[in-house]
Amino acid sequence: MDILKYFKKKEAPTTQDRQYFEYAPADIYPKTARKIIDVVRNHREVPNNLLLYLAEARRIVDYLELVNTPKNKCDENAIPLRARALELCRLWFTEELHASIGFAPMHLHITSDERYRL
Amino acid sequence: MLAGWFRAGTTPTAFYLFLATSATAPTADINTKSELTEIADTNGYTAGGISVARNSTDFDVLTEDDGNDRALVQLKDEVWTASGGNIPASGNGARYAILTDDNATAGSRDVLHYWDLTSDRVVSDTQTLTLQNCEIRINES
Repeated sequence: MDILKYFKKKEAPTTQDRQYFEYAPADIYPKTARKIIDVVRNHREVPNNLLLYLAEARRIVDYLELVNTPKNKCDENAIPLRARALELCRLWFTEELHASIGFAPMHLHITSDERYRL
Repeated sequence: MLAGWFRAGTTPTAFYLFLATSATAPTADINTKSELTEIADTNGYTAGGISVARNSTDFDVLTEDDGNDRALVQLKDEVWTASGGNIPASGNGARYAILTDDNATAGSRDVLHYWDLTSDRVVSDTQTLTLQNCEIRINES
């Protein structure tokens, strides 16, 4: 996934000391989950900065599709796994976005969408 | 935080990130650095830890998560390189990374946040310990 292909860069509301990005959860979570599933199932190489998240990705790869299920429609027993999947996707996406700007300071604004609430 | 925002107190000019052993596990009830056991210094680790500036260089990723009513603050990667021997030079390895304020008296520094490194970490001579993307979660509700 070309991370920058999906971003909508907006002017920050006030002067910022960092690059500002705004994303909708519907842009982040499904695509990132699919990417992680592909990485794990196809044993794809990841850059060193993502190795931190690879162990968790392997542990919950079978549950990453839960990011597409709203919490109130999720089996009660699966809610903790759904939360882990959402958090992993957020961290993975954040790290990829950060890497795409050369690890410069950044402000990521994830807008609200009840379907992706933890 | 209370002093800085609600009592017009002095906010720290910087923070410190130090490494602690498992002798005392940090909890919400821990107030100051003196209540924890810092790893032995030398060989690339300085007592008190690494200074962390209050700026976009050292806190390089801020996330505003509207859907979950929270903010997330990540520290830049912090690295210790063992030189002339292991880190720690003696005693137990590093189990926790602890963020404190910058009180001039190290033992009186307020403990602000901690991260569990999940096991006692010993860095062999010439090797590095990197803490990547340590994150602080601030909930709005």
